[in-house]
Amino acid sequence: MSAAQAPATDHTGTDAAGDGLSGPVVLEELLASLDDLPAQRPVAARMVQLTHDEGISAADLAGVAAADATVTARILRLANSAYYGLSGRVRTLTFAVTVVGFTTVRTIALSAAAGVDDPRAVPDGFWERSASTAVAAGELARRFRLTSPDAFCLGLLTGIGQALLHRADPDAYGPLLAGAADRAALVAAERARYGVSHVAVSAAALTAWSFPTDMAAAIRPLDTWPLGQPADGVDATTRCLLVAREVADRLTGWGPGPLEVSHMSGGRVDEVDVATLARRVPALAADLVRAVQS
Amino acid sequence: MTREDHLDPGVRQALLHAAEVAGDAVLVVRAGAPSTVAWVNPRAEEVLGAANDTVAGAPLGRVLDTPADLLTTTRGTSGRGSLRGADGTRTAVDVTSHPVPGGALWVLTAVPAQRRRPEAEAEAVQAVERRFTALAERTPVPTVLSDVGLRLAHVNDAFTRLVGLPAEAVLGTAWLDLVHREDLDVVTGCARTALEGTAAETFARLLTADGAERWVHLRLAPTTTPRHGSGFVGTAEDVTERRAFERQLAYQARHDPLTGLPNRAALFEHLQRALLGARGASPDLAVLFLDLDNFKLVNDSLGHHAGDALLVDVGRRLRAAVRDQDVVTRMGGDEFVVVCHGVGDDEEAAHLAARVLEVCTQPTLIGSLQVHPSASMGVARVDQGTTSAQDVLRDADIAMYRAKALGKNRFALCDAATRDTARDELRLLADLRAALEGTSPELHVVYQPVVALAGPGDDSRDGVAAGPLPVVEALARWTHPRRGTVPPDVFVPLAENHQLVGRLGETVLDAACAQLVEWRAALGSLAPQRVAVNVSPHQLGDPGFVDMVTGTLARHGLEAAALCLEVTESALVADPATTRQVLHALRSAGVAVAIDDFGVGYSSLAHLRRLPVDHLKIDRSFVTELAGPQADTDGSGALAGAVVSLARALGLSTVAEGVEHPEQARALQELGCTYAQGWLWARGMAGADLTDWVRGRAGGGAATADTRSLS
Repeated sequence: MSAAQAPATDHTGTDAAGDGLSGPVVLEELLASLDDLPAQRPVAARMVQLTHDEGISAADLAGVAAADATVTARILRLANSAYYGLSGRVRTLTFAVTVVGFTTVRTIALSAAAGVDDPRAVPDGFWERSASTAVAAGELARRFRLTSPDAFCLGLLTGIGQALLHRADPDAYGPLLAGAADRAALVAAERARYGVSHVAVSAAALTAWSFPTDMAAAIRPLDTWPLGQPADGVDATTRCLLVAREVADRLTGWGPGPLEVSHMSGGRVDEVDVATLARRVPALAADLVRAVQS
Repeated sequence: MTREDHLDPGVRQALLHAAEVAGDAVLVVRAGAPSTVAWVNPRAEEVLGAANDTVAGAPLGRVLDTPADLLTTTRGTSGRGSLRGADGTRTAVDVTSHPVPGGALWVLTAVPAQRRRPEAEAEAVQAVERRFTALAERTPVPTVLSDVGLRLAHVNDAFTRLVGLPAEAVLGTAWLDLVHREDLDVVTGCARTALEGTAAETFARLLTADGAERWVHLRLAPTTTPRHGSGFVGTAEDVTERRAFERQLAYQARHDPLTGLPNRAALFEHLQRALLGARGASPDLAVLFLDLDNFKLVNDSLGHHAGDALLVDVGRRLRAAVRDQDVVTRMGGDEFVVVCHGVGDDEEAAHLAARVLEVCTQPTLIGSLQVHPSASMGVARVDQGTTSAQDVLRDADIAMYRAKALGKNRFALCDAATRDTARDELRLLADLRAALEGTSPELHVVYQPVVALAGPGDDSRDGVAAGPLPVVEALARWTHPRRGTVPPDVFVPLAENHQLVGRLGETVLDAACAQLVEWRAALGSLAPQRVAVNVSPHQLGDPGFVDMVTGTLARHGLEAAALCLEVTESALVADPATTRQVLHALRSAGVAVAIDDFGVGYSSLAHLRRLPVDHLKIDRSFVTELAGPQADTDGSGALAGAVVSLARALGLSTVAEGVEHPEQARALQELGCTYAQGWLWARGMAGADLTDWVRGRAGGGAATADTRSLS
């Protein structure tokens, strides 16, 4: 399908702009391309499908994953990463799946299926940001009465839209990202060129991949945040992700953002906590990056 | 061509009807900027509070709030949204969207986003979880909860108190920094087991904020949350004090309280470990078994405190004389065992033994008195044939006894010959024990007649007084199934050295009494008047001995006068007080007492006077001197004569042993000796044979040729 033939929707309130590419068209194309994934990485796609079934056992899932050497290695590395505290002690794939949990396995399978696990296929610093966000979200989860694995996965997936935009527009997205002075500028630039922010793409991808609807719902408000909207009425998961992303942004050179973390978190996290996190996160994140990249 | 092109108008009508009557709200949306509502079904009209006519053509956003990515042209999607009623009400709905081929239309189905069952269940689960959280929070046991891997999601107040840190500082994997480095492996191993689905526990040290070390008993139980992977719930019970107490107990169980040295149990463990570690190869170990000479003397003369001080001093010196990896243990009493590593051959072992012996026999001050300790030491090297700690200790023990036998204050190596002899003795001992416990005729009793020598006016035949035998001596014999006859001078000392002589003595006494009863029945007035049974000095020390003797007599219905107990002279010397007491008791009961082998010991004559004794037995060596091939050159037999005179002076009778020649019998008769026994008359024989022998004598023809020649 070409951009010219695509129907346009406007109820997102964003304007299609830029030359050649328009927002909804990009979104459509991206989501359409996700449907082709099973053909490229059938095992990973099958795993994504299986992880929806709560009745399936870790051994079943490991049995399927074993057919994809890359995914197998990644799950094992992830389970052995410092984040889970079991460094070097997870030797079987079944145990690895047990340790990291199905949601995380699905995330790994997805990034493989979507081809965003190849360092050349993602913008510079993509996995460092994603891993930092994931680790920070996992560490913060308790403050928001969330479960750490859910927060961790959401943190990992929040930025997946960037990888998808980069794949769709490889020549332009990298410079666009590099040229953004802060997160607000990035969102503005993404909307100007694609009509949507990468966060909206991430949320759409999650919906397309049949993650629980509340996960996409938690991500969706994130792109309004850099514009400085008040924190009232935002749910705990979103707040957790906001703070985690803020921590990651600061570690990777963006920030501090326009709002204080205490406001962002609804008073659950303060600057002292962020400073503590900032000391713990880099090593754990670096370990994670090594685990999820080929 | 699509499937729809085949539909006839009737079917199209039916499908439209299905949409009309559907229980869920159905909206047809037309693509555009903005996308608009093309048609709604009656159920949607109902929810929106507006008729199809009024909403058709309106922007979709006016009637339905829904995510931007819901309308895709390529695939069905779903999401949460809300329908806006005409009156401003909003109805939460779950929307599914399907693009109609052609790209211009979508069909949206909206069902009320009622609380789904899993959510209700989740809430119930959360309620339960809150209760458990409250419980965990209030329990005084430090409690942790991981929700994935080793990442702690929750710790209770008791845990934060234990480690002295706020919860934030230990959550996630931060708590692993508190685990003692050496225990990290067991803790993660334990957690791993729990994560794999099996409850696990371990002991580990946690470092607290103030730098202290606490031992905790970590018990982890697996927990799983759908989608989230496995975690665990665990308790970390502080067992520092209990452990310290247990360690103290364990230490006490393995150490000698006096010297602080490891004890026998610890020694066995150490040796067994060393032997196991060697796995068949020679472990280059030497075991030094050391026994203080005359320690009892120190204890008796200077008191127990002095004895203890000496033991402590020797222990300290032994410890200082060997290397750190060597083990010095106190076996108990005045015995020490040193296990030295890296001793390659006998020469090295001897060198080591000499040095250790020298160090521990240096003079020392006990109180204000200088004591010169002396010790006997046995040395055994562990070789490839050594399979157990018992083996090597026994070898060292054997060598120690050899050192003692060689004159004390020296060491002896356990060589192959020593070991073989000792092991042979051990086998013999085991056989003796079995023989004593069994009912086999291996151990049996023979009886040697003791005849009354005729005095000057006696009615005699062949110099032997007429009438019944005055005494028959019961003698134990052992016929070993493989070795044949084992001489009494081999098996009696063996029994004495290994606490078997009491049993042996009882067996003989019992058999002798039974036999006497039999003789009385068979021989009537010709039956021997008494049976004599030998008593070992060890038996006299047994507090139950007198009761045993009187009890046995009573059991057989015999009067005490039917028994004579023979006690060696050496028994009188070893423990005179006890011996005298026991003999007095026996004598008052009516039992006769004879001193065996009189004259070869060192009995004090003054002492002898006070002893309750009836007979003196003249040792065979004195009898030999009287006449025959080995007689004194002058044939005077002065010693035998002296014994007889002494006995007469004390009012005792005498029994000559080992009489083999008529000349000896005659000489004894002339000396005035009362009784005699020996091969001249009869060897030891079975009870039944003795019956025949007595009958033969009474009939006048059964005496031996030698006897007949006696005149």
